[in-house]
Amino acid sequence: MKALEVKNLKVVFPTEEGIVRAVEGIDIEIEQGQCAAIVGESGCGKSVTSLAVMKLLSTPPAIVRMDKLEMNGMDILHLTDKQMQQVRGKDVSMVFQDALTALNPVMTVGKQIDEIFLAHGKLNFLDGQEGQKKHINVRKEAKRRTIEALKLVGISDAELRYKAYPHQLSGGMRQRVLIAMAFACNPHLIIADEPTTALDVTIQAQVLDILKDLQKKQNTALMLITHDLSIVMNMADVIYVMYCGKIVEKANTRELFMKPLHPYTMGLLGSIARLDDKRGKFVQIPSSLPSPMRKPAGCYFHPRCTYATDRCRQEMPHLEELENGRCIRCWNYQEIQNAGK
Amino acid sequence: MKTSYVIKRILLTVFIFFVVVTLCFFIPRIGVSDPASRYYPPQTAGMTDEEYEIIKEITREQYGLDGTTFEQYVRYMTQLFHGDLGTSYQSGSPKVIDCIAECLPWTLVLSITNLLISLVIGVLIGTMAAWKRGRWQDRALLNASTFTTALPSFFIALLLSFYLGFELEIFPAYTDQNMVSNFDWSWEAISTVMYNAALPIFSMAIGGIVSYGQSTRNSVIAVSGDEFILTAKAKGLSNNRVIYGHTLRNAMLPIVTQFGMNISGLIGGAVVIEKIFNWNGMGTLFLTANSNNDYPLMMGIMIFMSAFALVANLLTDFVYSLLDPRVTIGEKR
Repeated sequence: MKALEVKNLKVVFPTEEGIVRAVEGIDIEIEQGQCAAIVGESGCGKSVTSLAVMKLLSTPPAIVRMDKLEMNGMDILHLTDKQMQQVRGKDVSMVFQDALTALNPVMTVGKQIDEIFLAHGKLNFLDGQEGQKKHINVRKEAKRRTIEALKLVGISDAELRYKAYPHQLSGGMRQRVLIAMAFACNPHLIIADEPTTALDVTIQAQVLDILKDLQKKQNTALMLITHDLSIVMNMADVIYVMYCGKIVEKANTRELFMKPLHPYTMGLLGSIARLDDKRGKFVQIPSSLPSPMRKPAGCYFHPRCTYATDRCRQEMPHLEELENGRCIRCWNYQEIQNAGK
Repeated sequence: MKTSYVIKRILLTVFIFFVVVTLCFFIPRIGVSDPASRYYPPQTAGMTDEEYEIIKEITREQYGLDGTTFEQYVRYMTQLFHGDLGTSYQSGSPKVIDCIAECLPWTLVLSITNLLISLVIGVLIGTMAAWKRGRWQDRALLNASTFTTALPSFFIALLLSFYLGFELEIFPAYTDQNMVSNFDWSWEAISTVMYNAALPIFSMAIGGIVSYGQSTRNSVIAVSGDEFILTAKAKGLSNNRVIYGHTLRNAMLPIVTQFGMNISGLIGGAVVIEKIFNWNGMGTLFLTANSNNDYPLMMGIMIFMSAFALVANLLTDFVYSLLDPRVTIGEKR
């Protein structure tokens, strides 16, 4: 049973200037307890993918289509809004990028976590005693669990922080609160959308450690969305590289870092700073992401690709499946590999 | 909120109050050579000019208008410190404070009802317009707001008084003066007041409702786009919980400011409307005092209005800082 299975996800935004095809038919599979990273530049459709999986894109304006959306074997695609509310927060939850804007500024962080337990926690039953109604103070119980959740993400003085407002906490602390929220109901799947981008590098490492630690401890599947390959290295089991709304390469983390096949992936890896670097300078990808309204013909990457051929300019390559679950969308990957040797 | 800041703020308010009182004292006296002139008795035949001068002097003393303007000012301020607003020039020399006490409740009936109606209905309509963004409910509110911004409330009052009052005779176009003298807290008397107050309140509330509606709508839409609303949805909260617990709570902050500003206008905000419907409130009292050069009464009313406005502003600031924990007024970051 897979924690998440998405088949042929498409998201389109009709705008006045034209149709924006944000996501063009992508498949994602995440095993239980696995961490899958979706990597790509800003604007490649990563965040839209995560919101579409949560069914949180407002339609209209967005148009979302997919053939299959299952979480833990449960069909999510055909759930009503009401049923979906029961799934969100309980079976799947989210960690957002900027904790300052992602938290309600006029509500204490404690109350904001309480809400999750009040919505999903089955608080009038004590653990393991379902069916046997024992009256306990629901709000007190929610508070108790919230403080527990805050301690779990390494927040000291959890009782004190319970009463704090978001602006009274540091950036790292706020991000921990978001993580505590996401793990509150032990969901099968957590989607983390750029969870550390807004943080200092030192805090980044701490927050990632907590995220990884909790994920392993609770055997939660994690969908990590980021533009930063360096943080993925220690976190992810599988990496999806996304470009212009399409998956261009999928591989195990180790394989991807050892032997990237797609020129775009090579470019991304080339822009990571390494201590053992002997190249002396970064290999950068020339130019920038094309406008989502005027994507080039053929392979979307060809205008920026040093290996582009006539075929690349005319025909979009399909996602070719290789051994070991690895996938690649490139006409010339074999030639490029051979040339590199 | 620091205590030292609260004290500073209160002291500042008191200072502003005295500046206002001073200005109110001197401005009406600018350019008036002898304000007491209209109260002099006529010079009878056989009275010498010297004798008439003495009579004039006595009259000026009677009205507190003897000596230089500055001497009058010092006298007035001393009086004010003792809590005495003086005596009106009206016949019977009633105490200013009594005149105000008589008219104030009638103004408050209009303005408080108007403010509450505007707030409650406006917020409801605004929330609905935001919810139905771009649909007919939203467009109707936008059109109504263009309409009421262009039409001042006194013009709406005239229209209402003409059509609903004179033409259709649904509501009284002119306030029944017996209403005030016969008021005895009976159910009948209260309903008479409500009947008479309908048109003045309605003509003010139209603008108020639309204005609160429009600001609520904009505020709700702005907050709905904030990321913490997405977080709230991702937590699996019900729609109601998202709207009432997160969206409205934040969207109400600018509405509190607007409400506070409107509270400060509760006493002086309905002068023209009161005149149109001949409503015996502070506005009518002020206009009468003004046309009679009734300085003590004018001063008394203005002092009352400004004190009320200043206190309302002060309270709004304090309440706001309680509602929005991010506002830590007076603390340096």
